[in-house]
Amino acid sequence: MTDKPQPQNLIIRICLVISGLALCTMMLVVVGDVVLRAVFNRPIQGAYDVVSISLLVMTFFGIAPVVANRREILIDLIDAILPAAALRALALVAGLVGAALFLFFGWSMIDPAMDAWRWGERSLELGIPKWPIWAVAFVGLAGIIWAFAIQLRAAFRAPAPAPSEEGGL
Amino acid sequence: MSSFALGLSGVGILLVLLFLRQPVWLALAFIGVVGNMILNSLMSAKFVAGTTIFDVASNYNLSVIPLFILMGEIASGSRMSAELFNAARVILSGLRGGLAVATIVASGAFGAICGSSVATAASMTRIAMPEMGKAGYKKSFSAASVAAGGSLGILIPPSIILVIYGSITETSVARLFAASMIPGIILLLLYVLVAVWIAHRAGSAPVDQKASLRERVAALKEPWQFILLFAVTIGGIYAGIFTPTEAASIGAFGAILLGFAKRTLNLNGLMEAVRSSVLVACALFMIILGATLFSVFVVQTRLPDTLLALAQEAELSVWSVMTIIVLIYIVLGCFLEGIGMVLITVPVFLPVVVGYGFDPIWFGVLVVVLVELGLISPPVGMNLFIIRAQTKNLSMPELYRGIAPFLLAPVALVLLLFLWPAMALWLPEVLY
Repeated sequence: MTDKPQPQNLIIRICLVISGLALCTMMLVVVGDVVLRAVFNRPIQGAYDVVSISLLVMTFFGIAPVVANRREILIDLIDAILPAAALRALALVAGLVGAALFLFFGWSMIDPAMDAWRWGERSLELGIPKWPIWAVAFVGLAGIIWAFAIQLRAAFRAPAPAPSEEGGL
Repeated sequence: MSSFALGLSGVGILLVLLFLRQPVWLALAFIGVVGNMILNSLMSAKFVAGTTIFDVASNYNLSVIPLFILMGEIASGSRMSAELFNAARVILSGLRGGLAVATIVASGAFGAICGSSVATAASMTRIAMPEMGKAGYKKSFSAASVAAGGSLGILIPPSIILVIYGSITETSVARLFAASMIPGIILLLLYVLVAVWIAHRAGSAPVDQKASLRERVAALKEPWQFILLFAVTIGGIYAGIFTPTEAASIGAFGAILLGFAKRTLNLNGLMEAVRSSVLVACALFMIILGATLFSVFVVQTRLPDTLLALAQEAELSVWSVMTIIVLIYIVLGCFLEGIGMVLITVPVFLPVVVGYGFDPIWFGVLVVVLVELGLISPPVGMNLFIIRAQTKNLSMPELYRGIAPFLLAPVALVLLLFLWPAMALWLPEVLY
């Protein structure tokens, strides 16, 4: 249904695989929880935590392939009016501002991550320390910044294609 | 500059950025972060951003989004839409324009397990358009039927847009799913009426060969897997057996099992569905992240409260205010994509609408109907582009002419929602 991803470097492919695995984990844990609850009246202990953590992993590692494949949703009304050079310039601006925003997010995540480590914050059900989860988020963030570098390099060559699907909606 | 003026400027700049081809998430996040910096301080913007990104990415309630997307991707890839169409065409055979009606009915049914208008339209274009072409249907009529039917995917539950609306307005997704069911069915019937009316005009569509009663009964059994998935997921939510997240997981897992059992899905297909789901879901999560930052900024500017106070000071009647809001949605829908439109406008309009005494659940349904209208409205209705991209020898003006009569259906539904709000509010009240 969607376009095949461009041949990407290994980092982006790894991010996509991790994100896909996190999505499958989410599904299987919830199904297991429902089945065990219905059949044995014993839900999976910590399903809520596993789903929340898997969602975080899916998101932080899944954004990199979205950025690298230029699958962000945008409006292409002016494509017919502007010359290719202007479209390339706008794509470059988008890449630069996007990278700057995620760098800002990374910087702003340091304090709450440090607090999680310092105060020993733990997850609700399993009591897992939260700082490793923040660490995982930082690894995903590094992949996102790398993906913006790929996007910027591609933007030098051609403007981002308009999305063929409205985010699947 | 007052905070109200800053809020209005923020919305204005946001629209400019969107039209300058900046990704929706980026425009929302940029205004959210920079606006917060101007309004408060760098430290405030940093604090909000640092906690928001983690909270959005690990919000259990949002896990329903990728899971329903996965269910839709698997259903799209495993011929369920084709089986629905084949069943509908046999059951509705003998009716002038029966194939177009079958397309709309099958699209509505497929939307009930898919949750995506564009995916439904893309799927039905591949299945129904060639059949209608062979049967001698006018191309503009066939394409318009697919576009209109496809738009039902976001109103008939499960609806990804309603999940996102629920998350930003803190309303119950289960109640929203219950509220959208009757309007979804009524819109389907309105589209069918329009299709039958067009088909009876000379040359639009022939009468299809009539199937026997036995063939019709046999056709009813064909889409059993769809009925099973729908009963388990949406039925489970309505009956209070599953939360939306559980229903989405069971639905996705069930679709995988059914796909493998019927050999319409293999390992490659499954991996492709997971890959597509991740890309679609994460593109949406980027927008939700941006929208959350934008919402914080909008709330801090007190823009919605000020707009409400201004409307009340000007003694605008409730109908004037709602007419203005609906017109803004219709105009924006001609140019903006659906999710972005919801995330930009709802934080601004919802407090005003609630301030005038409307139910947020009802407003959610209204917004989705208006988004549907946008999906099939020229010049940038996304469903029209999806169909155009997959259909040879069909010009956009031809498609615009074809879709025009179908636009009456969502407009009529908007009027009905105002005249009879219970259409949306009755079922959630009965169920919950």
